[in-house]
Amino acid sequence: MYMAGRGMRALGIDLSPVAIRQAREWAEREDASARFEIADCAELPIADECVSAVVAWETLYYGTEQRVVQSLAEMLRVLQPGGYFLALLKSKQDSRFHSYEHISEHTCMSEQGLPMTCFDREDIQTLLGEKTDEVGIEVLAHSLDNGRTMIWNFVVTGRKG
Amino acid sequence: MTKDSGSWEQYHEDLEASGHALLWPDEFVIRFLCAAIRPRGQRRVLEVGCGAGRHVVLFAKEGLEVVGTDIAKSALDFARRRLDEEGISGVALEQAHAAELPFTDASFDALLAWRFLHVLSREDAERAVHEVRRVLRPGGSLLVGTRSPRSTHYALAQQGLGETADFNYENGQLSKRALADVYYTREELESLFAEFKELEIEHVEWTRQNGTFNVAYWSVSAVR
Repeated sequence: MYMAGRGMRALGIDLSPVAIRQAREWAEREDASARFEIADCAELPIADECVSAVVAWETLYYGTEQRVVQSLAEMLRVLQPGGYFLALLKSKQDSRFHSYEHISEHTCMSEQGLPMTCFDREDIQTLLGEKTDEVGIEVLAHSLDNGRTMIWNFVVTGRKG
Repeated sequence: MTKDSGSWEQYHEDLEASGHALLWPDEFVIRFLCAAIRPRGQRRVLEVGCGAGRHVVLFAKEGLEVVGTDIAKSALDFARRRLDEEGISGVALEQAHAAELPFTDASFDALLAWRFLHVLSREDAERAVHEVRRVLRPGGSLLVGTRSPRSTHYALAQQGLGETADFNYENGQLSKRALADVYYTREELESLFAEFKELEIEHVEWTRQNGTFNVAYWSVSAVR
């Protein structure tokens, strides 16, 4: 909605039909040009190299490691050369990574039964690999519950080479 | 980044000129609006240290009755310009020191002082907290932000680096004014806000320059 409001051709995707319905209702109320579709970020219904920018905020870390890696690959696949991305990934320093049960080296199981995949800085550099230039990795963290839980994320930006 | 001569008047002038002025509301202030102000049906909000007005604009767009104060007239001028550009009227902006708020007792439902307390001396901060409690109605919502000792700024200040007007993140220099910032521990904040109810203190941090520069704040929320 924000991007459409700034004159961009914006497409929002989500697996949840409820979320897409709510988003479409909002766009209709505001008479906004933003489009919303039900789709899977690990299997984007979009051709290669036809998007100029991708944003993946707050969603990319729920899933198995394989699913997250696949989603990052999809993100890079649909991006035009020179296109930018912004993704929020979860850090191993997130306090839940230590308290939740692990199902693999990078993945733990949340209380809601959702797998949550966490990386460290070096992992992210490796994952983005040679396809990405200008990689920026910043920490974005905050506590909850009067400091008892630490949410620890990475804000990752880059440009497709 | 911005030059900083040491005066808040000049700080805001330079910030606007540099194009780095903060435009968008902070996520934690948005949460304050959604999780505290809206559900409590609160209408009249004061922002102390409103700067160039990014949160005043947020609250006004929400349809609240907003008042903003700042010690720098230049900041208030920029805030007024932003409000005019957005076509927002009815917002009062007043020049005031946080330790001496020009309002009657219990005249606000909610009060915001975001990324703010560290600029006051410890004595002024104590006075400001009393003032905040005085102007808030019982049951009023409060959100205060202040720099945390996990800031790289704190490390630089400890090393005595700075005392220069040419502040920028790259040269690791701090302005004289930034060197005077006060950093609180969680325990000190608990003590400072002891007269408030439902005190919740969270820590927020993010990095710049590929993780090498840490920006860190305490987010203190409470009920009067």
